[in-house]
Amino acid sequence: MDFLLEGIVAAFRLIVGLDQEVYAIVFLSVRVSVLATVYASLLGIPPGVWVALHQFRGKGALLLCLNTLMALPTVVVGVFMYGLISRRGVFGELDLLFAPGGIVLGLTALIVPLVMNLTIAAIHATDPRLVTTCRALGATGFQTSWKVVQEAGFAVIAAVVVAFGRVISEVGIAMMLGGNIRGYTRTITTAIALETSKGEFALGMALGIILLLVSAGVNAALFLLQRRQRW
Amino acid sequence: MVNRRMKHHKRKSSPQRHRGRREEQENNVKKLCFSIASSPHRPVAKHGRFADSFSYSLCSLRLCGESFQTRKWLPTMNNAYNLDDVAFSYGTSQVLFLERIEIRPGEMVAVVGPNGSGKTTLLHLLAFVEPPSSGSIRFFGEECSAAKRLGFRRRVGLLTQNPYLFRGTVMDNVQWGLKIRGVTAARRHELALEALRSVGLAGFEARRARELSGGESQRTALARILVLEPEVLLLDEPGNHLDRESVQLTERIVANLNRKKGTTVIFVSHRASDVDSLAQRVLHLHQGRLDGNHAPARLVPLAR
Repeated sequence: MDFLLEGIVAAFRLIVGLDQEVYAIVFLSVRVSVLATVYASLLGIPPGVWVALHQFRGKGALLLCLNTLMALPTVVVGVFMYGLISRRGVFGELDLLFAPGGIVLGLTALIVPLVMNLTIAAIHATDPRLVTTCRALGATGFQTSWKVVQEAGFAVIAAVVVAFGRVISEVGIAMMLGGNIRGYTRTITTAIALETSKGEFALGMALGIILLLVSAGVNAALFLLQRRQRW
Repeated sequence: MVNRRMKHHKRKSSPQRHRGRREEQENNVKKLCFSIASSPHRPVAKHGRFADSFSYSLCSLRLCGESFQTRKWLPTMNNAYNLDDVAFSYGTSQVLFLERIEIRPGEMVAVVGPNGSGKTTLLHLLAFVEPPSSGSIRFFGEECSAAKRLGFRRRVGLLTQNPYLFRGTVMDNVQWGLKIRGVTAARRHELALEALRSVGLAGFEARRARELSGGESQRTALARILVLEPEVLLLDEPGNHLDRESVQLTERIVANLNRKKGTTVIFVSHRASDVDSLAQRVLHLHQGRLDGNHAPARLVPLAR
């Protein structure tokens, strides 16, 4: 048990001591996670709202497909994206492999189905009278969708937060597409895996605590939003 | 100055003067009719200066022995609604089939019938929030199509039985319809205050909509519709969850709108007293079909 305690103490020393390497890793992790979440939100929320508000042939099959994609193992996404962005791949010329851009692309692909599916669930959970009210008051399709998103607010934000939580704690894609290059593509999770395997338990623990703090910060923000949106 | 005018008058011979006045009166009526034809949804009183001289001109033309009916330029007044063979289905089950319904502008029509007879579905079709599965709906003479649905919807107000209020304040709710129509913030505020005053909710602007009582919610929803000045008001059992006082207030507001602004009112009600006191005509629905189209007195027992 001692080594665990020592690890925690060392972790606080690293955090308080403003260790440059630790902060570079944290900054990169947060940057790629935020970018992937923003892109996935832009790609997942509007089609999610559209699917939720419309009835069309094949909707059931689409929902089934999205549910399946939500449970997709990250290494499968990693392998698929590797095939696309490696030198021989379709996007090989973009030089995204072993670069932060590659990690962002992979993480985005991972969470788009998640964001879309949770958005659909959030919109389906709103009061059925809401859409009728918007339409009856003369709203256009876009105005209705925007109002529905506003009314479903907290649930849609929760979808985004869940997606952020998924990418910030993701290790398979970051390792396969980023390559865990020190000072360039090393994220919190890949660093934890590496340092722990090297026996650098304190650094691994410090990064783990930082990861927890980031998650706690995001959840606190969500809690505050929830309180604000209560009415 | 006066002499010059007198001279000018004297220059015109009597028959010429008479013909001139008649032409002027005829033109006034013609202009009013075209004004009504181009925007039939506006109440007659809002058709500008031609409206003022309408009655006078009409009488004068009759005195002149003119036959109105033979005038080609005279447009026919359109019904607010013409429904022909309108059907609505949920999946494979047909819940509404109406061969023919006509509702005239400014009419107050009650829709009665047992639960599940299609009253609410009919109101949704009339509010253009749902398209019919088949059949034709004409709104003030214009056939409803997908392209025209939004425009029609903006001319109709639908007050549901248990209205949904948006998150935010009463003011946010009342202003929303104006906001999506691009009305400026200052004008929105002014109109919303006026609408809230008209439903007896002055001073409620900053109240959270979700904290209101049933009656206050209903009146907020009514203000949210009234602020948009609809030409047709559709009410789905408005007095269902309200106390007597709130019901009377709603009835008074609706009756005033109908009388003063010529708003067409169609309401669903189970209360015989509402049907009796408000409706000029009663549509009785039974199992999704029109079972009667009568004056209220004959249908009061049915409504009960």
